[in-house]
Amino acid sequence: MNHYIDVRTQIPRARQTINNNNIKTETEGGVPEWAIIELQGLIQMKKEDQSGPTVVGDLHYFSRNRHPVLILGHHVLNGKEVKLEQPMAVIEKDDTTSYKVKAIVKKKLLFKSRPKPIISNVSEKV
Amino acid sequence: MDTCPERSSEDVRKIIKTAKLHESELTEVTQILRFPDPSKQNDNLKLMLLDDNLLKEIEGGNQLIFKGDPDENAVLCTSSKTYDIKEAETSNSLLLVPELLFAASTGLDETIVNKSVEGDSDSSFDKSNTSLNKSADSDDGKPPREIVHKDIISTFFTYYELKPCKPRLSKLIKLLDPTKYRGPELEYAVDKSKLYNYEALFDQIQASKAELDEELIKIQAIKIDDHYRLLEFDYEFRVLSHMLDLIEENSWPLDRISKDVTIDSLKDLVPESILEAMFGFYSSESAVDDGIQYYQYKQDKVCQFLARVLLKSAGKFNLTEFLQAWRDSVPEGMTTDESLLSGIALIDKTTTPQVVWGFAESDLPEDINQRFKVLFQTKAKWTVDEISPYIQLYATEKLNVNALLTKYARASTQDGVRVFSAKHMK
Repeated sequence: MNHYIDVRTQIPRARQTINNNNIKTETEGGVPEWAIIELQGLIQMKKEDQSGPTVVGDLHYFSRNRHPVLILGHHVLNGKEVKLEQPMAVIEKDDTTSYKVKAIVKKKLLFKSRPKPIISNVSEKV
Repeated sequence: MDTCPERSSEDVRKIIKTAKLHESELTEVTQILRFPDPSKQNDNLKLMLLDDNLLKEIEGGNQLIFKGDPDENAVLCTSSKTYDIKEAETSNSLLLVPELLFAASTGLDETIVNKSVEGDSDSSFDKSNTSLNKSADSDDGKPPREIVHKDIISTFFTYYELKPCKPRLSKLIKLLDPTKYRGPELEYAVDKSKLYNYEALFDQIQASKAELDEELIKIQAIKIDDHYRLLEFDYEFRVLSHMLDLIEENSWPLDRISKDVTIDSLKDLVPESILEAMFGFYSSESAVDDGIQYYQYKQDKVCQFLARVLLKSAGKFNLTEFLQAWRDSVPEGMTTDESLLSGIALIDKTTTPQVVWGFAESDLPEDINQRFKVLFQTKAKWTVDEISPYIQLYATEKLNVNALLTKYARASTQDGVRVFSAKHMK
């Protein structure tokens, strides 16, 4: 069930413009195509150091069926590449009055199955 | 460890093994997903679902505009359509990853087959299936895995959902109402600070350009010195009367109205821009004779306006007398018809004598519940045809007038005719 919230407070100005600013890796329309990875729940990171990037996990594909497999900490998630029923635009608030389309998302990797814990008999530092 | 930004082929292989996966079953590229440095995370991004039309607009490089004052629900406009914006929530996490490689871009079976042809026997498919316990061994001679790092630039739990909606145009009349045009001699009294040019209207009205343009024509807004203005009712009547008087003065047949003569004869009385606009509202091209374009006045529009003039004074009129006065008020040759009163007047034929009174759609409350209340207070029972002009503006493709009536009124049958009355008896 989707639940709706009023968005009036998020778009406060009388008029906001969306412009197409093209970036590299473009689709035929001149807008780049990005991807979404959809997971159940949310990822919690234990992180001491607040600067620099944080590794989340390793993503592979099975060559047999092209299905993605994601290793997240001590869990393995099996997923599927799915075409979005309706594509999505990634829009970015430029300044106070305008939005630009950064990218289009047409496909996602959907991980909806329960994560399988990794049972390791070797002591590994992961 | 987790905070290490770059990982080696060896690290990756170790994890594959720990996870009880087999490298030989996987395509060639490993993508390491990262949350980028907090300073590089982009919190200004939003996801927005697109229908085919919006996708086409974006891929075509066209502009999309969000519109809405703080007290209005925001809408999104393309050049011709308006969309209602709702924010939807999802319990899943949506991780947005630019330039993520899908399976097809990470080396597939074909590539592996090609390689084995080239003599790399290690990655042969049969062998990989039987290499369950030997994966440690078979890894050793391999070239390092191809590793790419991909940043999750934002995580979403909500996205915007857009639904095509009717443009919200009722504000237009409200904006233009205080500065109605009443003739050049009364311009001094108009508060210039309340005038709107096109840009200002476009900013304020939650409608696409095409929808706004259409509405400006429909409400007969005239551009005077760059500002859009409505004509005050009495002034419009004055100008129209001048125009219609010329028919008799020049003994024109109704389909042989000369635009040039009309404008030339009246330009000392009425500014030319207003004459041009008024002529446009009330006439259509009829015939070309000797290279001259002739026009005819729109009979229904003229008759309707003149009926409104007669009905303007409050109160009820004797129907027979009204119809006679109406016939007398229109140019000779034009025919008035009761059906033209639909939406501007109500007729009660149950009384003696029968009566008619002005009842304009534009004077009714905007809120649909309030409007139905007023409608049923005015008249207890309505046929679909009678009530339609007063509720038409709420109808959509999905919810037509009949559906609206089912929702807001109670249907019954009176003398074999289906009528609608208030849902709740008072």
